[in-house]
Amino acid sequence: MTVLVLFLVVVAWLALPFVPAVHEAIRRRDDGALPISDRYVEDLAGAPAPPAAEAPAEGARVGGYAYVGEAGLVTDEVAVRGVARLAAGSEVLRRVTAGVGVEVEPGTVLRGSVEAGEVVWLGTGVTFERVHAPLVEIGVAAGESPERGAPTTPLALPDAEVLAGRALVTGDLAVPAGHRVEGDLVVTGDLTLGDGALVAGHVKAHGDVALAAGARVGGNVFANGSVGLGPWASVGGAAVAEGTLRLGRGASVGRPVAPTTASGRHVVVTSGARVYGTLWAEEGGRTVAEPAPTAEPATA
Amino acid sequence: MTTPNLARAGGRLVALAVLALALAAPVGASAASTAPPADRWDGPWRVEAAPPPAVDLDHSPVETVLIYTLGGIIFLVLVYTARHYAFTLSRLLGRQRHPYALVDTLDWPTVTVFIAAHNEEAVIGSSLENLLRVDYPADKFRLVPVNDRSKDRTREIIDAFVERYPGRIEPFHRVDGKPGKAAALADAMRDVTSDIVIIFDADYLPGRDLLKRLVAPFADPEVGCVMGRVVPVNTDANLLTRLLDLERTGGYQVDQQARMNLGLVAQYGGTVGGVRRAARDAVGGGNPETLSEETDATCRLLTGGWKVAYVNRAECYEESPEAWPVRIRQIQRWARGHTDVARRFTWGILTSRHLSLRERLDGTLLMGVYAMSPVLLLGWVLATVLFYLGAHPLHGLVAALAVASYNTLGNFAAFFEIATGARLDGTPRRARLLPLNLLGFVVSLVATSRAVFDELRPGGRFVWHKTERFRTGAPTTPLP
Repeated sequence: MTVLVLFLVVVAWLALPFVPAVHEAIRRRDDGALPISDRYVEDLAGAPAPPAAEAPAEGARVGGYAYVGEAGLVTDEVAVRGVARLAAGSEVLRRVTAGVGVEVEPGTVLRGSVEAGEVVWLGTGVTFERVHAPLVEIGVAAGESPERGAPTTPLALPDAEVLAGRALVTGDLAVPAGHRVEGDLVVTGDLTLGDGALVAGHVKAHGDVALAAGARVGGNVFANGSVGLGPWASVGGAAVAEGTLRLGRGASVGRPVAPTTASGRHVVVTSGARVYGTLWAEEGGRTVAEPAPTAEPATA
Repeated sequence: MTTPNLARAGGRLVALAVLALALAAPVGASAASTAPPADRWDGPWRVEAAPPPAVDLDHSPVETVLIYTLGGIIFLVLVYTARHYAFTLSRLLGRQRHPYALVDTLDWPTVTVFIAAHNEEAVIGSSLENLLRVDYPADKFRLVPVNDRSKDRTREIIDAFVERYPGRIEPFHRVDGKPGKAAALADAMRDVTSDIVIIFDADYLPGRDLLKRLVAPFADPEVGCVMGRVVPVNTDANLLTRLLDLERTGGYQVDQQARMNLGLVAQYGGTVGGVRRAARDAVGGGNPETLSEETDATCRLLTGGWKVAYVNRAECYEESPEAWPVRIRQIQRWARGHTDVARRFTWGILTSRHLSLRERLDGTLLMGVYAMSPVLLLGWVLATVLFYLGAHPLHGLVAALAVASYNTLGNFAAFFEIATGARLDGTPRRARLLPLNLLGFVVSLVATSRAVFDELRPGGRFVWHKTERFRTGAPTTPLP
């Protein structure tokens, strides 16, 4: 008898999870296909707006030119056909779109996405998430790059394994000033490019990537760690860091004829830098005046 | 019969009951498995100190072999269990890696999109319609439906689209040759010149931004292969599709993304994914002989120094099987193909100098996932045999505990993964169906075991069964 009771108790106990299961199977409450995301911006940058410090104004929808409020104004969305100018200290919670350009004065907070048909200018001290335009300029123009000769000395990579046009380097690699590497480069450690050095192809590093002043990468740069561009360093393709992306004074990402993406978990952009295409910070980006953030190897 | 013998017999009855139920109820069984040994139970409320059972410590050689084999099986299952838990905890608590999700502006490379189609009149129209609407530079995008020896209206539908959208579709009609998707795609890809090759099955319904999401990771020069997330579209059809939806959720939302998080081996699934042409050429092109061209490609790329990227936000609808026989044939085809690839590549992955230690270990475990089904069945048989032999240390409830532990924990870990996936998807209610997934588990276990056995059996031949489609209605309906 005891065994039978024990048996029934065990059976009842084991059957317990089947009660809601059978109930759900019979009386369906959640059986639709999962909605799939269909747009980058709405999926990522257009996430639900955070609560406002004060009740947001209705989205400003005007034509031509819009000067959005005074310091302290919080608004949900700005959409203009011409140029939008966001006052210092204002805050946009979701989206700014302008047919021509967006001027963002210092100290503004931009949540969500900012897009313009021609140019976005960000002052210093601006917090942003996603900015997209053919040209994104930050702060005061840096002027011409100091004159540097084109790197002519090819760097020998005797320990690298060449696979389908890519040089695979185990460990760290430093490309000395004035040297160049043809083709694509994959480095399992950190990669450092000295003053004026050049990698003609694409670059991937499992660690960090640091470009010293005037260094250049012709293609894309991907790093599992951080990416730092020193003064007037440039990346012809995308610059994507899983850690922090830092752009120094005069640094640039992309080209006018080939817009691209500069992104990182965190992004710090110094006045004078420019991006052709999209500037995207997963967990927040900011613009700073000085000092230029990095010629030193970035350590995540 | 003396009292101790009665108690022992009763204990064995309980042990057998627990064992039987442990096979049938993974969630609740964990509670039962914490019960004290049966020999010491006289009822649920009173525990008496009983004399220890007389056990024979001397085993026959056969028993010794069986015991050690069972121990090895339990160890293997626990390894997979730990892996499942690690994946789930990574998704719940770890750092999430989506390195390519923010890349939305690029100098986009040239792309050829192949749609593999064999007797797909029910679905090919919708797939073409959706692919014609994707957001990608038209001058860098070539759409190639691969009509592989279809005997239905597939060719007619494709040709109608070609006429309706001049210059946008370049059909590849195949009327003979080796059957199977791998062989058809290998033929169609012979003259590809684009940088990237993307592959969809004919029942897939890509969204507008899917192509860019799948192509973006190829900007990383290390990536040879990209996989997106498959989402069943016919979830509400019946219980089977609802259960498969849960399995898919666990497999992609948790399993694949966790591998991405942890720097392990993401798996290319052969659809909703793509390959860099240079990488494919570098590792010898496609393999038309395999049943599992996707796993074959994954292994060859990995051992060739390329990485596989998984993009959780590159989501695409597919049609799940709506009938059990169709599902069984589908999983048997996967199991046979995977086992064939595992036989050829496991050692290469384990010793590859291009992979880190964790990638090599995870890749090896990935190779063994289908083989674990017959191994698990063997474990159950062994445990039962040893139980009746009364062999120590698998005596009485110890045997039940052993069986319950690897069955329960193994299942529970996978079910934990599925429930977590449902929660991450924001649809926790559907996780209530989880206990019923045991049905799918048992069916898969038996079907997979049989397929693996057939694959490993000398002279075992496989007859290709195309996955039956269930979609009805207008054949050219695009996504809502």
